[in-house]
Amino acid sequence: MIVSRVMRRWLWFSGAVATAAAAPFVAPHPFLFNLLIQAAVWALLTASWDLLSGYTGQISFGHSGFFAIGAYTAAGLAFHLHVSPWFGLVAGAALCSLVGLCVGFPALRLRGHYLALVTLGFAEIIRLVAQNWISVTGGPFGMHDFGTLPGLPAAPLAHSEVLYLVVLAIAAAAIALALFVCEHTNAGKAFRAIREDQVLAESHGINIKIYKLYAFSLSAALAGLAGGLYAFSIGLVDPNLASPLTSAMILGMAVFGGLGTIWGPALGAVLLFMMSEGLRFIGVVYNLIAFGAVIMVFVIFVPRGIAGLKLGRRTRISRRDATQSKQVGAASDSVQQREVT
Amino acid sequence: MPAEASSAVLAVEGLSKRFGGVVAVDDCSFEIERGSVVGIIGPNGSGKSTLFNLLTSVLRPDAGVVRYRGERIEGLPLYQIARQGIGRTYQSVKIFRDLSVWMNLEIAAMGRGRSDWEVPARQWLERFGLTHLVNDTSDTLSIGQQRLLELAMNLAMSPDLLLLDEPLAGVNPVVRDTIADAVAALRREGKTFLIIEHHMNFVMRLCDKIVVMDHGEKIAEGVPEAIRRDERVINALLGKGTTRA
Ligand SMILES: Nc1ncnc2c1ncn2[C@@H]1O[C@H](COP(=O)(O)OP(=O)(O)O)[C@@H](O)[C@H]1O
Ligand SMILES: [Mg+2]
Repeated sequence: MIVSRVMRRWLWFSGAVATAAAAPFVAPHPFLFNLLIQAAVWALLTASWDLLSGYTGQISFGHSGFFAIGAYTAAGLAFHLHVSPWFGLVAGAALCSLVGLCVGFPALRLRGHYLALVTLGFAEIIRLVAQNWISVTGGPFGMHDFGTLPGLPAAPLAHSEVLYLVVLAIAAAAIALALFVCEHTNAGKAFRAIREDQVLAESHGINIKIYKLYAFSLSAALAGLAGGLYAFSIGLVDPNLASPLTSAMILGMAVFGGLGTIWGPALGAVLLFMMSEGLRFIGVVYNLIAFGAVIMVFVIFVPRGIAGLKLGRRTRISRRDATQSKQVGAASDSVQQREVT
Repeated sequence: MPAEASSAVLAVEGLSKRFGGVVAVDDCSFEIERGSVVGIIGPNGSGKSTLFNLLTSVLRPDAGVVRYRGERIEGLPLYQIARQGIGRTYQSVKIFRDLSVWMNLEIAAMGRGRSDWEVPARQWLERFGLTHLVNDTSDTLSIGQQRLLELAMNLAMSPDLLLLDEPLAGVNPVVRDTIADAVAALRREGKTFLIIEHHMNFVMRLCDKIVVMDHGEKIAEGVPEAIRRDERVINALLGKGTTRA
């Protein structure tokens, strides 16, 4: 029975990717492919955030920073050093995984709001560097004319079709990797244990520092990969990539999709991105208001997001029980906070 | 001397911990022999849970030495202490609430790097009447079932030493008997326990030795019959109104 549930998840995942690959060819247009490329990038970026924040419970408000590092590294290597874009993608992800370790290290001692603030500060540093290190980053106007992925057809429609399929394939593979790590490896169990209760996780022998660093580094690498894909498909990187707005959108998309499921946030990102783009005709401010309203409604009425919709009833029961059980023995253990780390 | 202390699984010497002005644990020393069940009793706030937290590095001691099988373990990270075979439960049940019963067990096994856990895990679930709940979110279990799950997560990993913090607190008489029977059976198999408990029947029946704490100090230590008659113990327990015997 457990096997079939696992199988079903991967079947759904493959089906969704296949649908995403085939659907736009019903009405092929460069504009549509361009939108879908961005949706795929958002899906990967949001899934990467979910690996760290949804599974491990380490709330990052700085994923825009990793996204920007990946984008600037890929674009900068191609522009300044004329390195192969493929190498740029990998280099951006690799650099991000190192930076992820560096951000994760001080974060080992922090939780909740403090961690969110540190990661927010990190992304702001990245934004300021991008804005001011003009010789390398192009400053406030960013970088362009650094090329795209090699070997794409020249005709506009064919170009965007192939580019879309390539971006989709890479993003889907990376999301599948995140899903695999979270659902089929010891690390995935450790992530959830850390999210639920760090002291208890350690009481059962889990080295929570190592797994937090692992989550930070893998999550950052995937966000960096999303940045590289963005750079080569959009052809423009600027300091706004690192803005808090980007991080806020990631968070909103992930909540909308359902935290701690990988596929939920990925799907949530695609749906919300397409919705806000689809609503552009009502005005660029109004579509953001709609974006915010949808997230608010979900946070209040569907806290487990799209992924949790079918579990609605079970969720309600478990929440009631949780409040009951907290009353027993809470008096004494509430003082037993962690001192040693 | 590690060589001489061979029969003691755990040896505690001069363990102390203060929180601001409160001396929660004050110069405590005692030993646990292999295969014995040691009970810790004492009024609320006498430092029993803090002692557990010191033994498992949830808190760092201000002073003192803890030897486990002759090796010093104080200050080791909590996860390493668990991997050395020391299991523990918490006064307020600690389980992974949003995860299924089975996932709770899987995580407990994964953390300790065990591969031979599934058969004992199923046996404990069966014995505790949790088998039909394996796929349920553990949050939905009753308090008693949650305690049993917490216990099963430890027992299935067959720890060398198990610390139980008030295992009978807040559970109904049926679950209480289930837990007491499990401890009694494991005691016959020669398992080693350190148990904080208020229920005197349980403590008197199952413990080989009892350590009594008051205001962070160990005020008495001995076999149940001796403790039952000890003046200081009676005063400490009755004086605080802890008559829940
Ligand atoms: N983390 C903590 N911070 C501050 N004071 C604490 C902490 N843990 C326990 N204490 C205090 O230490 C004393 C002993 O508490 P505890 O070990 O929980 O007692 P018991 O388990 O015997 O009821 C109490 O006065 C309690 O308030
Ligand atoms: Mg206590």
